[in-house]
Amino acid sequence: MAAAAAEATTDGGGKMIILISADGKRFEVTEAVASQSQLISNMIEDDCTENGVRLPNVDGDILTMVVDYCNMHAGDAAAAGDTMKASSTEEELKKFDAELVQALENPVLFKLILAANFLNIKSLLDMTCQRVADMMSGKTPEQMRETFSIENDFTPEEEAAIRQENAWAFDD
Amino acid sequence: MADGGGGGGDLLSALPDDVLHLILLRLRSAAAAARISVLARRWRSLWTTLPELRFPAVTDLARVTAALLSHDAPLLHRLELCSHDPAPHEVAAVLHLAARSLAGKLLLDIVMRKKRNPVAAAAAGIGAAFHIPCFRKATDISIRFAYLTIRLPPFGVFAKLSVLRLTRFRLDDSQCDHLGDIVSSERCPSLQALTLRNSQGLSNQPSAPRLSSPLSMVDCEFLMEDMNTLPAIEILSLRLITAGHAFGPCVFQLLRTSTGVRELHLDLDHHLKGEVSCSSGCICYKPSNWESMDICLNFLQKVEINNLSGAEYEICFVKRLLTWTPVLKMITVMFGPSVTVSEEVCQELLSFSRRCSPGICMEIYLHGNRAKVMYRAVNLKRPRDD
Repeated sequence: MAAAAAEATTDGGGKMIILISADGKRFEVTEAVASQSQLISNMIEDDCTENGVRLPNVDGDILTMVVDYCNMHAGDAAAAGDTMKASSTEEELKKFDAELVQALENPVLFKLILAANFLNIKSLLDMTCQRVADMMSGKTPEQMRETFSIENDFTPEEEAAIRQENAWAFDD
Repeated sequence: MADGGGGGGDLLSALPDDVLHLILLRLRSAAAAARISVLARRWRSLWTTLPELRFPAVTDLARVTAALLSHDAPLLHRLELCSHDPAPHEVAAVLHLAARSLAGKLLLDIVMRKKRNPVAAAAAGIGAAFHIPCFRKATDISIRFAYLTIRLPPFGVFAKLSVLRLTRFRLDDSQCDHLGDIVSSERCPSLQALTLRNSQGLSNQPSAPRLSSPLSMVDCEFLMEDMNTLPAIEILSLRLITAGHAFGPCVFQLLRTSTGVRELHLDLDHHLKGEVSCSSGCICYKPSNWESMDICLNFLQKVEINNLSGAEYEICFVKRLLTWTPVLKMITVMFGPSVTVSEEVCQELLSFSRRCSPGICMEIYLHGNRAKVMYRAVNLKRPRDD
């Protein structure tokens, strides 16, 4: 929150918006930062952000990550305003994204996906989904189950039948 | 990634279907997505409702057919298929299935890697034409053929199609007429952009093709604003590889069916020059009535012709064009870099344009000393009072 607020006050034009996480943490961000979420952008348009935006299904620690991400990426959308540290170059952004996504571990990754989906932040959703896809590719079904703690609820016969059904996708 | 169940249970499977679809789509192939079906019940039929299917490099199209038969979504928004050395009937089977549910974009890339000996190819049905079915719901179709002959559907309406791109294809004589028929307002009422690239209209017999002529048409793009009547093309850009042929009749044919055009860009490409020496008996002179028949391009205000070779028939064409354009404001004529144009030709064009309509501004560009120079700008609008 501290970072977001400090940055926000120096921003001349933008109105401030308060985001409130499920556990009551408050984040003050500029409209430009917040409108990367299509959900919030729509709310801004409808003028219903006056009393803060409650996000009952996003935890504080996840919202921290989302706000960091949006702060970092606010430059792309609205390149206007003061320079300060928001003038992150494309390379810096790529590095930031790569580090963010690499650091994500299973439970946090999926919570972040849910938040990005709920808030409708396309770039973040794309990036996190890609991360899961990357974790899947090249793995056998057994390895995938292990990676994602998926319980195999098929009987061996059922599994064989499914392979048969989708034979076109299996035999190379 | 040794954090196995560390996060407490299977949060991945708990994600909503549409998010799991996003993940499966990022696996980049329908087969990879379908293999996920064995993970657990939750995953079993997720792939069958994917809105997009990609088959990046398939040799056995029977697999694609099998996939399409199992795919269950009522509408498919995107089908991407790159196929190596397919037999035409296999492609037809796939397209036939796809045509039922495709409500978005079709991207088909056919790659022929092997040079087959003709006998073996014929036995495998390789030489046969590729039949394209009618896609009633598709909005965007892009197909790259490896210079194979295609057959267009004889009937059916491409009701939603707004973009059609056909690349590297051949049309035989009977199909040339057909192409014009397909992109008509009756059969493609929503068409906004048509791109035909590197087509070969194989016309050995002098029948009169409507769109294709012995010219290979590279890039002809029609931008249509008014959806109801096809000839309401507003900007017509043509890049023509002339290969020594006359382009006048072909362009005439196109203009005749597009009298609403406001801007015309012609980009001529003379490479392959000399490969064909054509005489007045050549198909490119058909239809011959273009030299006498008048059309009225009542909206054409701007013309740009690039890379003229200075040949007599080209000058003739420019002059014919000027007689069809009552409201033309600006015409730019650019000769190719290695062309020498006589003073008389330029004068002739300028005075001709002046006679056609006093409102025309004609600019002629020549290449002198490797730089493009304007011959002379003549603005024949009446001088202002002040």
